[in-house]
Amino acid sequence: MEERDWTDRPLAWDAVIATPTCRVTRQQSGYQSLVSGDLAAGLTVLAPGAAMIGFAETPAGADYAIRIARDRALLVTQSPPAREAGWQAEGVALSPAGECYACLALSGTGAMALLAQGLTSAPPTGSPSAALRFAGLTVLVTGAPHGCLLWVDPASLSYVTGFLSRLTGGAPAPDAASS
Amino acid sequence: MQRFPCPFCGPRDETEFHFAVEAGHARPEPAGAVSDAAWAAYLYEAASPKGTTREVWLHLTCGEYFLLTRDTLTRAVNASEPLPGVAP
Amino acid sequence: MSGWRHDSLGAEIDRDRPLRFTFDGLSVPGFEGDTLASALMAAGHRILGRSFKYHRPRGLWGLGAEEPNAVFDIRHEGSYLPNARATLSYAQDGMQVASVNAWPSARRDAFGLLDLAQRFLPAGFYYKTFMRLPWRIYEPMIRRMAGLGRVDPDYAPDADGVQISAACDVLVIGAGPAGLAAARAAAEAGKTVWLLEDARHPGGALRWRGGEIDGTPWRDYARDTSQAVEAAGGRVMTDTSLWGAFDHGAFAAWQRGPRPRHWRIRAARCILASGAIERPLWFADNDRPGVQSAEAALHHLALYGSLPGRRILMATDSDHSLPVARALKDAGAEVTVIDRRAEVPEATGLAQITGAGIEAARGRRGVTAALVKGEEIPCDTILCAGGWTPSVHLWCQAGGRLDMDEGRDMLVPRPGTAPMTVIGAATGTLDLAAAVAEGLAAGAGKTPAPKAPKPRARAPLRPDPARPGRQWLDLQNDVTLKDVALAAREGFTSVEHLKRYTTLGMATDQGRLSNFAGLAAMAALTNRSVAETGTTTYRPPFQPVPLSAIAGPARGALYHPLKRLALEEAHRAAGARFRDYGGWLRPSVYGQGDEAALAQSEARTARTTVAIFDASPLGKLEVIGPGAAALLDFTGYVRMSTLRPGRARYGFMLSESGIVYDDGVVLRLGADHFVVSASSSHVEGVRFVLEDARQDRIGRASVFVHDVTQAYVTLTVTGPDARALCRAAGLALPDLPHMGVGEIAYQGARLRVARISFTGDMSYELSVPARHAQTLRARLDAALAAFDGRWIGLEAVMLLRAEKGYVLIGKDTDGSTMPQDLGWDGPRARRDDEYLGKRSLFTPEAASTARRQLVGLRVPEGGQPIRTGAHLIPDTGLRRSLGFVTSSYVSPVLDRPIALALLEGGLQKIGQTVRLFDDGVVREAVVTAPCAYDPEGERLDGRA
Repeated sequence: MEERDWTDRPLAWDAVIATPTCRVTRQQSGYQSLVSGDLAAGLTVLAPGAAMIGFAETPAGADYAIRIARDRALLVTQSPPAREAGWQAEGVALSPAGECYACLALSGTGAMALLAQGLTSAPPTGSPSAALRFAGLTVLVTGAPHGCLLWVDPASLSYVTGFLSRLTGGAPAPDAASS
Repeated sequence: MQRFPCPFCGPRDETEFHFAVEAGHARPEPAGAVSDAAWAAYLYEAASPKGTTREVWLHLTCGEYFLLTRDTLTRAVNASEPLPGVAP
Repeated sequence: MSGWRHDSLGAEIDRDRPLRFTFDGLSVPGFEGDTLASALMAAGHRILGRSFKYHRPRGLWGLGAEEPNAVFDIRHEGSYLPNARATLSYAQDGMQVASVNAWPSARRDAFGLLDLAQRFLPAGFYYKTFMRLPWRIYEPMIRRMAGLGRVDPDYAPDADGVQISAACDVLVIGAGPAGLAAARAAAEAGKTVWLLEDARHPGGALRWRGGEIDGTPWRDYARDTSQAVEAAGGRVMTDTSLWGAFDHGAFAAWQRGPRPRHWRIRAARCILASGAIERPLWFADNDRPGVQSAEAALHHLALYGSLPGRRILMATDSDHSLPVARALKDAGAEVTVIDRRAEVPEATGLAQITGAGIEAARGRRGVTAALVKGEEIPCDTILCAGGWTPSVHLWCQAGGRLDMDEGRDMLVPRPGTAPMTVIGAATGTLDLAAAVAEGLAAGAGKTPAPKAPKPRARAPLRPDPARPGRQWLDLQNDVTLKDVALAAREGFTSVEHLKRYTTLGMATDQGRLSNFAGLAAMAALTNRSVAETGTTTYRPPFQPVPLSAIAGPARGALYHPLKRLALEEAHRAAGARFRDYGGWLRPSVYGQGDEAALAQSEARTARTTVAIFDASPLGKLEVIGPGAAALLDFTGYVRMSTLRPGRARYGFMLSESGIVYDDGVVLRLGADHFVVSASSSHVEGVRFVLEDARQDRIGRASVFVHDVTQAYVTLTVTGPDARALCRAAGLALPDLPHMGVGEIAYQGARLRVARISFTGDMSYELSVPARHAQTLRARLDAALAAFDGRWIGLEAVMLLRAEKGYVLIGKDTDGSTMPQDLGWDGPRARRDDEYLGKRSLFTPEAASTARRQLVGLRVPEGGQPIRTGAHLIPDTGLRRSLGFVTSSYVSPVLDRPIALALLEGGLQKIGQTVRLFDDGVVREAVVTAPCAYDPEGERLDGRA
C-alpha cells in the first residue's frame, strides 16, 4: 500500500492562522473531566459556583461545565476535582479526562462566519448542547469574549487546523517546537 | 439535507444523526422461549410503511437515542420525543 | 458569415474597452460586457460547434442555460473550464476558446461525413451493433469520439472553493420582474430576503424588453429593491446559480466570480420566479446555423448590439414576439414575419406572410433560405417563437407535480405539491403586470389566487411526423422526431424509456428545449394526452456545477484525514515510518530499509529482550455506575459482573445476529467502575452499542459511558525483560498477576498499569494522561539500550499476535463469524442470562458443523508463506471455497511461515492435510490449532 506523505502538523502553540477578520490560535484549557448523571448535584459537589453553558455561550467564571448531552457535560476547572474518579454517591459519574479536547480560539468579528464554513447549515441558535458536527467531526463550541472556542479531539487537531487554514487561504506560521 | 429535531439539542442537520431501528419491536425474551421464526422476525422484518413511520434514531453528537415520527413519502418530520421514561 | 454589430445599440457592452479572444485559433474582437455568444455573433462566426452524433454544423440558438450548441472549452489565465456555455460566459481579453466535438475546428470538422451515414445511426443504434468483433476493438474509438468538452488532466482547479452555510426567511429565485416584486414586498414586510439571479444583472427579460414594475422604470425598481433587501438584512446575489432544491428548505447555490462560493441555504420560505424558456419550432433541418430563438435575437441586439443576420424571417403565432421583429427592423435588418395566424392586426408596418409556418430550412453550413407555403424565401436567419416552457426544474426537484395547462399549452406547477410559491412566467404568467402582481402578493405572504384558465386560441404547435425531412427535437444529443417514432415502434413508449432509449433530454442542457416536444410527440404517437404521458424526473444540478465548488476544502490531505498520535513527533524522530491502521496514522516499522525485514527483526527483539509500542488508539470507555456490571453483562458475550476489582478479562461484543462485532479486554477498577477497551477502529460503534443498552434497557440514571480514549497515552512494554525495563526506567510497578490492573503515582498524576498481553510475552500496558506522555516515553526510551530493546511498529505487533493465534476482528473474522467459531463456546453453553446475540447462537445456522472456524495452517518444510486470501478447496469434486487464509506471516522465532484461516469444520480437521488455491497454484498445508507459539502460555511471566 502506498504511503502518503503526511507532512501536516497540528497548529503549534505559538502559531496563528489569520484572516482579515479572524485569528485562530491554540489555547490551554483548565482540567477537563467528563461528568454524567445528576449534573446539578455534580456541579455542586465538584465545582461549586460553576455554571453550565450550551452552544456558543460564554462562561462566566474560571470553572464551568460545557453541556454535551441531556445528562453529560465536560467540566473545566482550574484545579483537578477533589473526588476520586468513578461513581459518586450523589448519582454522578466522574472521569478525569486529561486533554480529552484540544482547544482552538477563534477571535475576531469573523469568528462565527469562519466556523460556519465547516458546517452544513448556519450555526444553531440557543441549542442547550455545545456539541455539533464540524468538518465531519463532533466538536464542542463555546463562546468567548472575542469570538468562540472550538473544542476538538486531539487526534484530529492536525486535520482541523489544516481545514481552517484552507478556509482562510492562510497557512499556519512555521511551527516552533510543538508541545 | 434533512433537518431532524433532537429532543434535547433542537433541530440539526441529518448528518448528525444515525438511523437505529423501526420503533415498536420489543426484544423477544427469554431466548429459550423464542422460536426461530419469532427471532428472525425481530432481526429482519420491518414494516417499512409508505407514509407515517415511527423510528428510533441516534443523535451522534450528544449520544441520545430518541423516537422520530416522520413520513417516508414526503420526508416531512412530524414529531420527535425522548425514549419512554425520560423527562423531556 | 452573417452576424454583425450595430454601431450604437448594446446596453451592457462598453465600447471604450475593446478586447480580443481566440476561437478555434481565430482572433475574435469584442467589448467588455460581451458574452462569448454575442461577440462571436457580432464578428460573424456562425458555425460554433458540431452536433454530438452526426457532426452537423451548429450555431447559436438561445440566450442562457438552455443553449444546446455553443458549448466551449475555455482556457484563461491558467484556469480551464470545459463544457461552458457561450451564452453564460463573458468574454475576456486573451481567452482561448475551443469548440467541442470537432476536429480540427468547428468550421472544418473531419467527422462531418458522419451525417451521410445517418440512416445507420438512428437512436439506439449501438444496442444493435458492435457485436461481431471483440468490444476492445470498438471501445477505444468510441471513447475518443464520445463526449463534448475535453478534460485537461494536467489542470488542477485552484485551491479550495469556499463553502458557506446560511439561513434566511425568504429565498427568491430569479430577479426578473416577478422576483424583484416578491423580494421587495418581503423585505418591506421585514423579512430577511435572499434574492438570487443566475445572470450577471437583475431584471430578467426586462433587460432587453424594457418596461415598468409597479409604475417605476425597471432599473430604478431593481436598484430600490436591492436597497430594501439589504436594509432588511438580506442579500442580492447575481451571477449565482441556485442549482438544487433539497429537503426541508435546503438549497444549494453556486456563486461565480473571482472567488467562487458554494452556498448552502436553509430558507423558511421559497419563492420561485425562474421564468420560462422559448420553445423551438419543428421543421426539416431546423438545426442549421442561423436558426435561432426569437427572444435570443432581441436579447443579443438590445444588450450587446449583435444581430444574427441581415435577411431575417421570424416565425411565430403570438403578438408577444412582435417587438423582436420591430427592434431588428429598426436596427437595420430586413425582417419578414411568418405568422401561423390568418390575421395579425398588431403587425402593422412589418412585412408578413400570414397563415403559414416554416416547412424546411435550406443551406448546409448555414441557413440560405426557408421553405414557406411551398416557396423558397432567401434569408440568412430563421427566428423561431414556438411558445414558452416554464422553467420548473427546481419545483420538481422539491417534489412538486405538474399540470398540463391546455389553454396556455404548458406544463405548469400544481400548487400545493411542493413547499414553494411559483410566480410569473414560471407558472405561465407572461403578462408583465400580472407577473408583478403575483410577485407582490407572494412576497407579502399571501396565498396566490388560482389562475383564470385561458381559452385555447388554436390547435397547439406540435412536431408533425407527416412532414418530410429530419426534424430535430434534442439538438445537443442529436435526437430527431423519427427517433421518437422509432422508440414508439420498438415499444419504448413510457416517457422514461423514451428518454433513455433515444437519449432525448439527457444532454448537458437537460432537455430544456426538447423535453416538452419529445413527450408531446410520444403522446401523439400513442394516442395519449400530454398529461397522461407524464414527465421524467428533474434532478440537481439545475446547471452544470464544477466539482471543485462542491468538494470545497475536503481535498488532498483533508480528504481522508487520519487520527494522529500525541507522540507522533517523537516516533518520527526515532525513525518511524507511518501508515493507516484502523483510521489512525501509526508507526509500521522503525528505520530505513526493507519493511518486511525490519518487522522480522523487531518481532525477534520483542521475543528476545524487550520492545515498546504505542497502543494509544485502543479505545478506553469508562463504564460507571451501579448498573455498570449489568450493562456489560448484557452487551458482552463473556460475563464481567464476576470480575474482581483490580483484574481484567478478555471478552467479545456480539451483534444481535450473533456475529462477533468487537473483542477486547475489560478492566474492573471498582464495584461500579469498569474500563472497556474497544478496537481502535470501532470505538464509536462500541460506545453506541453500550449507550443503546444503557438508554433502552438498563436505565440511563444507573450507568454512564465516558469515552476517554484520547485523554490517555498508552505505551506497551513487552518481552521477557519488560518488568526489568520498567524498573530501570524508574517505574515502581506493583506486583501484578497476569491480567491484573493497578495504579502508581507518576509526576502528580496516576499511571495505570495493566498486565495484559497482546503478544504472548510478558507485557505491561502503561497509561498516563497525555500531558505526561513525553516524559514517560523519554524515560522508557533511555532505559532501552541497556536491554538491547527497541521501539516496534504495528507490522511487528501484528506478527507477534498472529504467532499466538490472537484474532483481529474483521481480519481473522468476517460477517458470519460467531464466537464458537473462534473456539469460545463456554458462555454459549453456560450462560442462562440474556445477552446481545444470545438467541442467534442457537439457530440451526449456528449449530451447523459446516461453519467456518478459525484454525492455524502449517506448510511443508521449506515451503513459502501462503498468500493472505488464498482459498481452501476440497480434495476432490467440485472446486469450491471452504474458507480462506486470513493472516499469513513468516515467524522469526519459529523460523517458518505461519498462517491463520477460517475453514469449514476446521476444528474437526486439526492434524489433517488440506489443499489450497494460492494465486493459481494448488498446494497443501496441515491444519493446526491457531496458536503456533508457546501454547501453554509459559512466556507470560517473562524473566524475573
